[in-house]
Amino acid sequence: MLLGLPAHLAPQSTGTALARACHAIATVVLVGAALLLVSAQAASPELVLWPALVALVPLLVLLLVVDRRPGATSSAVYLVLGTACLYWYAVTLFAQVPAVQASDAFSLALPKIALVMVGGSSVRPRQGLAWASVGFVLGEIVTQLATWQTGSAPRLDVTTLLAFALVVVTMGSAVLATDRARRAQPSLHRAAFDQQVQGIRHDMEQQAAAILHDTVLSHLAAVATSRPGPLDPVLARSVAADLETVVGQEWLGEPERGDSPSASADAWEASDLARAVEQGRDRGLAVGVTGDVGAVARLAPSAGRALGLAVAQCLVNVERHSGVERAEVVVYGDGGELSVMVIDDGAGFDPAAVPADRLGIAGSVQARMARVGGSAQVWSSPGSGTSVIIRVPVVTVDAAATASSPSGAPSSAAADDRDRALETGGAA
Amino acid sequence: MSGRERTPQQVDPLGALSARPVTVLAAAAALVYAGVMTTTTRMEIASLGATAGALVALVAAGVVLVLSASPYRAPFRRRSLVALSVLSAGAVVLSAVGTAGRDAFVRDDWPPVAVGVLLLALAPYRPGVEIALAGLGVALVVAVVVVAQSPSFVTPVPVTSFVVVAVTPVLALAFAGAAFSRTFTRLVEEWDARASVARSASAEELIESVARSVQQDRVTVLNRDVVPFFTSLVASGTVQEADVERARRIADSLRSTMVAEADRSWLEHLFAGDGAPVSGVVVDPDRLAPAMTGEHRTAVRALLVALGATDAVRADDVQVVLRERDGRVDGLLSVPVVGGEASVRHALAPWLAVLRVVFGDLQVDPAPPLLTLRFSYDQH
Repeated sequence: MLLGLPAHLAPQSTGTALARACHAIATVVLVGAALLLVSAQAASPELVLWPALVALVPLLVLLLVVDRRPGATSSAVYLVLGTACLYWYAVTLFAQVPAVQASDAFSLALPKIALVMVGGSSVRPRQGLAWASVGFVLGEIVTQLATWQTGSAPRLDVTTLLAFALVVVTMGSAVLATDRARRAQPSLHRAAFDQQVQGIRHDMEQQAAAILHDTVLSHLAAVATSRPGPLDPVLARSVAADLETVVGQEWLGEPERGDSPSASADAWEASDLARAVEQGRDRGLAVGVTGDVGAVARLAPSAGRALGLAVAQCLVNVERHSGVERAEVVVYGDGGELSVMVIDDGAGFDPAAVPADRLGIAGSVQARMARVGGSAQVWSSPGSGTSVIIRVPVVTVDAAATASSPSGAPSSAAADDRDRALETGGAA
Repeated sequence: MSGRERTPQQVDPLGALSARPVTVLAAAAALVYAGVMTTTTRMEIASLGATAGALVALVAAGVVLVLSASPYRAPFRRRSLVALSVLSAGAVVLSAVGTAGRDAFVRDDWPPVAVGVLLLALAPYRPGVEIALAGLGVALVVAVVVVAQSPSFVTPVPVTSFVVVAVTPVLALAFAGAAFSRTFTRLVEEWDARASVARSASAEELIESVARSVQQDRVTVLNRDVVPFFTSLVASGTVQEADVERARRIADSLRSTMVAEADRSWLEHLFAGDGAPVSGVVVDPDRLAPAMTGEHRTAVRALLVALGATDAVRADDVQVVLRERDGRVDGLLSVPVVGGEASVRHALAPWLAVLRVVFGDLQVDPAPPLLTLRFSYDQH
């Protein structure tokens, strides 16, 4: 939502809406005129009123045309044919209805008002005023003509005059409005844009933080806890990979990987989740996998990637902090959602006591899953193990490509997960 | 998306702000018309009290319209429409009582036109359906009253004709208001949808350039400590005593930098970044700024930029406090006023009008020495 029209579109939109309002008035007054005729006819069957009723039909049809196809041609046709109909209507009324013997009769004013409410071209609001004036003048001329011909009394028609004044005032003020208020509109649109950029940037920064946490920070920690001596070969490879990927490559760019969720049985083998489990096993962790593992095929590529990276981080945490060498990964697909639990029987911890400057669970798991529309919850207490439950919505590829947040902060699918670096850099 | 209603005012707050003079004019026109018609048909008055009561009810309806349409009370609520309709119906009934038994012509009675104009004037503020329903409701009252009055009418036509004559102005004007409201809202929403598509297309390009810039920032930080350290580590193949300590130091500093960056909310960025429009303090210990919707953020950001652009306030001393209360967030924004209250209102009226529509419960106190804004929002 951009909070309003830009200044150059406002007059057009107002003009179109005013034209529609005029047509609503015209419709009601024409229907009113028809009902008055029917009412009079029912009360006095000897009168010949059907010619007047017939005259209203083309007016209503033309009104529909002007409303559907506004423009100079339709407006001109409406006014010319409408004036002829009005003449026909007025002559019939003067000749037939005893109560209508002066040119300011209410039932005469109704079709005249319909002429004033022609609406005009919506693209040029100024012209709407001109069309209304032409309608007003034509209506007056032709009614006076009918008055003179039938020997009725000419009088000033205040009702139509007021209707004309209404159109002049509303359309006129729309045209003349200097729109002092609109000066703020560009700043609103600018703010919406800045907000969008800032949202993207914030997302990127969080992704970058998660990637750096899983790679550089993780390896720095490994060095900090190692004993002086020869560098562990696994750590040496990881550090070299960091130098190569994190510093040397575009790790935040658009992922080129075009794979889509495949329905085949080896979807699990190809999934990032399976790769995360393999990485954990490579490091010596006994990872048991149970449940509906084929369900990972239903994940969008971005969600599958984020899930793999998040579970990899959970397994790293088990390895580092739990004190046990075994973890269970349980996968279950449930309607529109895929849930993955990572469980260990280790030392556990108090989630509330984790310092705010630790990026692990918050950045690498929770924020990462939130970006693809998922969530992560941690259940743990000292001495009773840890369970992390990760939920990811199952979406189609198309939905992932088109669903974007219209508000300032891009989220989930719009900001596709770009955490590829880990695949090469690795948390190993 | 917040719970905004589909009214012209709420999809295009600034448009409604510029429609305000017409609203005041409509209320005045309705009153003048009623006054003039009452004077010219004064011979028909049977009860001066009821006639005066009818005019008072109409004045009250006009006051409800003008006050509710005020930018300082936006958005225009449904209850104001209901109040206006009830007062209008009251004016219809009282006017009929005032001329009971002596009303000769339907067409010179003022209520249908005067009330219709008030309903028409609702167009920028309420949904079309509501205006149309209000019109139907008032028209029904008008119809019943006219049937009751019909014995005194002198024109030799059936009662149904009187009803049509009396009801037509009300319905024509109310339906006109409804048509305007519906059409305008639809046009703005259509434009907004088109603009959003264009925006998300350009967002794809934005993402790439932002990604490059963020990565560049990170690489700059990494090049300072991490890269030399890792390079020497890989080259030597051994871990020295000093390396352990150095790894810990680099990790700590990297972590604290990254946490500070990733934790800083959009609001704090707005106060802290290069070329920030305002400076001051953001008190947001529970990180509640990210809970605002896109519209909230856009409106607040636009206001802060506007604060920075006007001389009426001291934009270098803005304070924003966000606190949680019962699942909602209470916001307080204050800034010292330099000029008078009037200059603040003049300078900031459009942005405050937008904030009102977006937040719904905004309270503004522009009295020096502080311009204070209070608002609240749900945690999204």
